[in-house]
Amino acid sequence: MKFVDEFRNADLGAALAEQIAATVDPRRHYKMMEVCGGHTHTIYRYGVADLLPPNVELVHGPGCPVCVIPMGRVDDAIAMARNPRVILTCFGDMMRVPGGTGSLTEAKAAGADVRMVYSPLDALRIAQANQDRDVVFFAVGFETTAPSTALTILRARAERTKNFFVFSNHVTIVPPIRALLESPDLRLDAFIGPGHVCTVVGARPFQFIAADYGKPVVISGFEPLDVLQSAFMILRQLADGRCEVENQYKRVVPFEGNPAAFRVLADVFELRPHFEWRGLGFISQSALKLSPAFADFDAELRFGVPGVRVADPKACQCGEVLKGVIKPWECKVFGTACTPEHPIGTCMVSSEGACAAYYNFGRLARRTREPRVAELASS
Amino acid sequence: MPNPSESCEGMTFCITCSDAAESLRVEAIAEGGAVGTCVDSLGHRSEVLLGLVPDAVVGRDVLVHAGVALLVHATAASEASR
Repeated sequence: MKFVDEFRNADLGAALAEQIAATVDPRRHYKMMEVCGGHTHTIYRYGVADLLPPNVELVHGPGCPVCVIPMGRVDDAIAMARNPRVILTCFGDMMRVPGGTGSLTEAKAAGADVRMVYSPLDALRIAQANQDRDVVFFAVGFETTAPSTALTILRARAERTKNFFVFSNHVTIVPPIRALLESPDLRLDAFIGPGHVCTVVGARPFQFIAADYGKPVVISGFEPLDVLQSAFMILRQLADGRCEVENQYKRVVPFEGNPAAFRVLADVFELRPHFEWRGLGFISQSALKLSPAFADFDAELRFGVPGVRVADPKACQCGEVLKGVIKPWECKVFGTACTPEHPIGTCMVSSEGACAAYYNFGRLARRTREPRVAELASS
Repeated sequence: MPNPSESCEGMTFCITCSDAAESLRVEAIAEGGAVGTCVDSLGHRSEVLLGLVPDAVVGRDVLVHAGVALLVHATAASEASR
């Protein structure tokens, strides 16, 4: 398939790996963060890290929208779902995210009407087919997903649908990156930028990373050679002493983003003063809520929510994983008490989550590799 | 389109809730360009909002995330020439 096969070509990958090996300084350790869960998934699924020299480290950031939702917001959704008048709709992964009072899957098993949808538009159609009920869409996602919710709200208004509501948990990518850059826990050399977020926001919002913090950014596609080439572009920048925002994903991402999406977002949403991120705490102006002009569609105003902050389970180290401070396998409960079938933390729920991606794809490669490393060390 | 009652579990990649998107071909456009029917490579059809891509036309591929087209792909010929 064109634009897929060539980005999964093993020979091209091997050639690129040779170029990378020739570019790195063996006396230096490189640490680059991919902030997008899609990249994390690709890295583990295709073994991208195995093609990098051992002194080039990939760190996984807070780019999985499911993973960053705090437990209290899940409890808020469950509280709405327990209202017998409500049909609560959400994307599949959100159904299994544990809150303090269980998950939406468990609420559904207990009798709540919780339905999985593939888009906000699906939720609107459910509302129009069930006019005696109130339909709430549990909206999560970064700037890639928020325009979909915004357009659907505009459509609901145009179609005079009165029983459709949105519980907005949309977040924006730049504030958490800035928080990470200010964090003393983490020393990063560069960022692999989120490709599809940039189809909406463009490359410009990431220029502060290069200008203010002196770190390269390369906006990347999602095939394995996209990520590998992005790593190479970052290493070239570091070798040349350059610090820029480059766009590896030019076949999709326009530098200016999508102006129509900007306008729709500005019409429907406004920034929350602050929002809690799992693992990162409260971050100012990092999330979207419905603007007053669309208050009639705001589920938080229509139903009220408990709004109780819930601490993460003590054993769970999703926060450290989301900040890239530890790797998934360094969490105390990884693969034992916490598995994709029985997740304790959000990173194990979504297929985009670093823990689930590593559990599904990375751990076997690591097990295979480690004995070889031990063998070499003892010889 | 996949049956919404199906779970994401078992899929290797969740296309709805991540920073991921898929390319679909525009098969029909209605309501003055606001909405269209799009088809994937396996023949699954879905309703897609086209409000963000006023340049979408029947036969072209669009990048779709969560039911909304985010951009119109360059044609294969123009992309191959880059």
